[in-house]
Amino acid sequence: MAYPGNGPRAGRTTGRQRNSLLNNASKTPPPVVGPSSAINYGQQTAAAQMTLSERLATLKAQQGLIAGQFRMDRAQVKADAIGSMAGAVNSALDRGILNSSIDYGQRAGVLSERASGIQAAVQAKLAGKLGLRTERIGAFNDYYNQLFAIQSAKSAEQQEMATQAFLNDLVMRLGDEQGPPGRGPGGRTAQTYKGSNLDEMLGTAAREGGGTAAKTGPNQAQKQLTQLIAPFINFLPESVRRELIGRLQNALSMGLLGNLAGTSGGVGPGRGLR
Amino acid sequence: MPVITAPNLVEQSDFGGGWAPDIDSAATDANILPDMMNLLPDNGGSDALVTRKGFKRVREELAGLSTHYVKHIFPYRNATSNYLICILSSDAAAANNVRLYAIDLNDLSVARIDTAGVTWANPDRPHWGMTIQAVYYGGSPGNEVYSWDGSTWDATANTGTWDTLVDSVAPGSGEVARDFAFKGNETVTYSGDQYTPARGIRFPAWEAGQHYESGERVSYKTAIGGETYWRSYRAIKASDSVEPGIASGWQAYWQKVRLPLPVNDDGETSAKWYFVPIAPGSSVAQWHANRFWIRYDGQGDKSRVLYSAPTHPEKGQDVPDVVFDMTDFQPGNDIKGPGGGWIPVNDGRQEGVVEAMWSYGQYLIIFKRQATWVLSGNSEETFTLRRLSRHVGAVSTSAVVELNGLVYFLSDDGLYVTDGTAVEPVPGNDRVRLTLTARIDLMHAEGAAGNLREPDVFTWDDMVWFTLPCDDTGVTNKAETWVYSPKTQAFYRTDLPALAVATARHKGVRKFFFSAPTTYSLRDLVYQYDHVSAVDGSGFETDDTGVDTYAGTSAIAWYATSAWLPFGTAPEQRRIRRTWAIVKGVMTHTIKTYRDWSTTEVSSEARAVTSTFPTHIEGEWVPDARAIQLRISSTKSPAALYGFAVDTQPRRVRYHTGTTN
Repeated sequence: MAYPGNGPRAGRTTGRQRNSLLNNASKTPPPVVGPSSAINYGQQTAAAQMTLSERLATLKAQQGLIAGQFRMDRAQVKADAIGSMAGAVNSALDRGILNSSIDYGQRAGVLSERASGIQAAVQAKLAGKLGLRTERIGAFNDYYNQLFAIQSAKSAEQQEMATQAFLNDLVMRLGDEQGPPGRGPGGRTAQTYKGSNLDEMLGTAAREGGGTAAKTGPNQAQKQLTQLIAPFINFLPESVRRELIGRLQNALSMGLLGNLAGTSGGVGPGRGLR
Repeated sequence: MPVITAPNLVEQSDFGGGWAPDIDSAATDANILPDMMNLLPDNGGSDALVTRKGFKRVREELAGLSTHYVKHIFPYRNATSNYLICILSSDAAAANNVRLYAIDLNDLSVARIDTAGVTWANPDRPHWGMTIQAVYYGGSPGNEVYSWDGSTWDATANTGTWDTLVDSVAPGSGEVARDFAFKGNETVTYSGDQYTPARGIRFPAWEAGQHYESGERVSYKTAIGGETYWRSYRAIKASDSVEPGIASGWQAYWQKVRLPLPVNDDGETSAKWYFVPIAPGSSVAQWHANRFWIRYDGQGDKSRVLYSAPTHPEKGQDVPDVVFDMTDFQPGNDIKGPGGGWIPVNDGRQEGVVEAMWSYGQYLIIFKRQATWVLSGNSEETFTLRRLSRHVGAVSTSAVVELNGLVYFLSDDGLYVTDGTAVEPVPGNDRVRLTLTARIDLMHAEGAAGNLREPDVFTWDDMVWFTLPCDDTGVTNKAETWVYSPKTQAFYRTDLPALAVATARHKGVRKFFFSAPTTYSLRDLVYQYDHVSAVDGSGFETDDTGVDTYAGTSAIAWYATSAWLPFGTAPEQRRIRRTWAIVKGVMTHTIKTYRDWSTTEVSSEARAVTSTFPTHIEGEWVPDARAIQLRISSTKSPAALYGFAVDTQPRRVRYHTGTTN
C-alpha cells in the first residue's frame, strides 16, 4: 500500500498525490499567525528590545558614573591626605613636636588613611562594577525571558493553527476515503462539516457516519482508530499526536465518528484505513 | 630697719640688699654689701646677718681613695633603709675609674654596689640618678643605664634579656630563629639594635586530624632539625593530616609564615618591625607624667629627649600596683597601649645641647645651654612643646631646683626663675651677674681642660644654693657656694666647699649632705652641713678640715663690708667721731674703717665680746672724711651682725677748688 505516503494511491490515476498532508507539510511553511497577532508579537518584541536597550544605556551611564565617582573619590582621598598631612605637620608645629615620634606616627597615620581610602575607593568601584554586571545579566535575562515568552506564545498559536489545519486536512481525507473523490463521508467535503473545532468536526463526521462505535465496543474502535490514523500523524510531535488521538477517541467513544472499523457504510476492511 | 640718716648720725641695720659684687661700691644703696663672706640672712625674719653653719663628715672615707673624688651624691630610699649613693670618679681612663658606694644612713655603713674592674666611658661626665619605685636608677654618657635595689646591681638595666634574632641557622641559647611564630610583643636584638614585630604571626595550633582549607593559618610547635619552637604556616592546599614542616611533601600543602629580617640590605627598617629605642647613656634624665625622660644621646645633636612608656597597672593582680619598665621605650599601638617615643627640642636653631630637665607640675621644663623649653601635657595626644626663652638656659644637669612653686636655674647669665610660662632673671641678678658669669666661664674652661666641675643647685633653709667649685689657678676661693634668698631678693656668698650635694630626709629630718672638691678634701669624704649629733650637741659651727682621718674642725671666718656712705655730693668733709657695730658672738670682732673711697685701711679695732647677747663694739676714730666704709669681721662662728653706725660732726666748710680734691 502506497498511501499514506506520497506514492501513487490505489484507485488513482493521477500518480503522486501532491496535495497529501506530508507533502504539503514538507513544502508549506508552518502556518503563520494572523496579522494582528504578528503585529502584537512584534510590538512585544520591540518593547522588550527597547527595554533592554534602555537598561543597557542606563548601565553604560552608571558605569561612567562609577568610573567618575572613583576618580573623584581617589582625588578626594588624595586631597584629604594632603590636607591631613598639612594638618598633622601644622599640628606638630603648633605643638612644637615637629619631627618627633608622635609627628611621625601622625604622618604615618595620614599615609595609612590615604592608602585605606584609596583602597576603599577601589573597592567601591569594583562593587559598583559588579553590580552593573549583575544588572546587565539581569537585563539580558529579562529580555530573553520576554523574547522566549513571546516566541512561545507565537509558537503555541502557530501550533494550534497547525493542529487545526491538520485536523481539517485529516477530516477531508477521511471524507475522501469514504466518499467520492473530493467528498467526505456521505459525500461531504471538509467544508461541509460544521463546527469550528476538532471535537465539533469529529462529532459532525461521526454523526454523518452512523455512529456504530457502540456496536463494536470502544476499545476495538479505539484500536481501529489508532491504526487508521497512525500513518497520517506519525510525523507529528508526540504531544500533538497524543492530543489528537485522545480527542478522536473521545469522539469515537461518544459514537460521534460512527463505525470507523465496521463493515457497513463506514471504513471497512479492505477499504478501510489501516 | 632701714638706714637712718640723722644730722650727725648714719645707722644701717638693713642688709637686705645682700652681696652685690657687680655694683660700683661707691654708688650702692646702703643696704648692700659689696663684699662679704659666710653671712646669710636670718631665717627668723630679722634684718640681721648670721653666719653659716659648719659641717662634718658623715663617716670616714668611703674607700680611702685619694685618686677619686665624690662626683655625685644621690639619695635613695627603699623599704628597709635610706642610702646615699655616692659616685666616685678618678676622671682617668682605667679600670675602676668610676665606683659607686652606698652609705646606709641607718648605721653609716658603706658598701660598693657596682661591679669592680669595669672601665667606665667618660668618667668625668655627669651622672643622673633617681629612685623609681624603690629602685635606684642612674646613668652617664657612654654607659648603660644601671640600677640598684638595695642588694642587686644591674649594669644594664636598660636592655633587659632579649634574644638575638638569627636567620638560617639553628638558634642557640639566647637566640631566636627568624621563622619563630612571634606573638608581636617580643623584643629581639638584631645588628646591635632592638626590634619588636609590628604584628603577631602566632595562629591557632595545628591539630592532627583537623581539616584545613587553603588559606588557613596555623602555628605548630614541634622538633624540626632538632630545634623545637613555634613555627607558623599557611595552608596552600586543603589537607586533613599533613603535619606542617614534618610530613613528607608537606610543602605541597603548607607554606611557612615568617617575618622578614628587621633591616634589609639597604639598612632600612622593615615595615613589619618596629625599631625599639633603649635608654641611652646620658647625663640628663627626669621623671615626668608617669614616664621616664632622658636626653637621647647618640641620636642627633643631643637636642632630643626620649620618653618611655608610662607606668601601667600590674597584670594578673586583684589590686594592681603601677609598674615601670626601664626597657619599655617602644612605640605604642592599639594592643599595647601608650608607648614611648622621642621629641626633638629644636626648632632649627641649635642653641646648645639639652643640659637639664625638671618636672614642674604639668610642665616638663627642658633646659638647653642657651634656651629654655617647656613641654606640657601628659600623653602623646596632648604633648605640646614651646620655647620659653632664647639665650637663657641651664649650665649643667643639676643646675635646676624648685622652691616655693618656682623653678630656679643657673644660666650663663646668672640665676633665673620660671613659672613655666616665662623666664626672668631673679630680682637682684644684676648685682652678681658679671661675677657669676665669670666664675662659670672659668669652671667651663676648667672642664674643657679636663677638670670638669659643674654647679649643683639645691635648696636649703628656704633659699637657693648653688655650688661653684673652680680649680682655676687665678681663683682665690676655689670652693664657693652662693646663696640666693627669694625673700630678700639678694645673694650671699659662702666658702662652703661643696661639689656635689644631696638633700634628703632621714628619720623625719631633712638633711644636707655634700662632697668637697679635691682642692679641699684629700679623700673620698661625704659631709653633712649643720651636722647634728649626740656628740656635737645642738649645732655645728665649725668646718671639717677634710684631712684623711677626722682630726677636728676649723673655725668659720666671716666678714661684711658695708657700702660707701658718702656725706653729700659737695666735697665737704665731716668729722668722724666714732663707729659702732652691733654683733653677737663670743669671740673677737674687728671693725675696720676706710675713708674717701680708698681701699687703704685707716683704722682697725678688735673687740673681744664675752657676752652671748648682742653687743655694741666700737671702732676707732678716723680722720675727717667725705665718705666712709666699714668692715666687720671675725674668725669664728656663730656670729650675727645687726647693724653699724657712724657718728659724725660738721666741720668748717673748706672747699677744694681743683679738679680733684
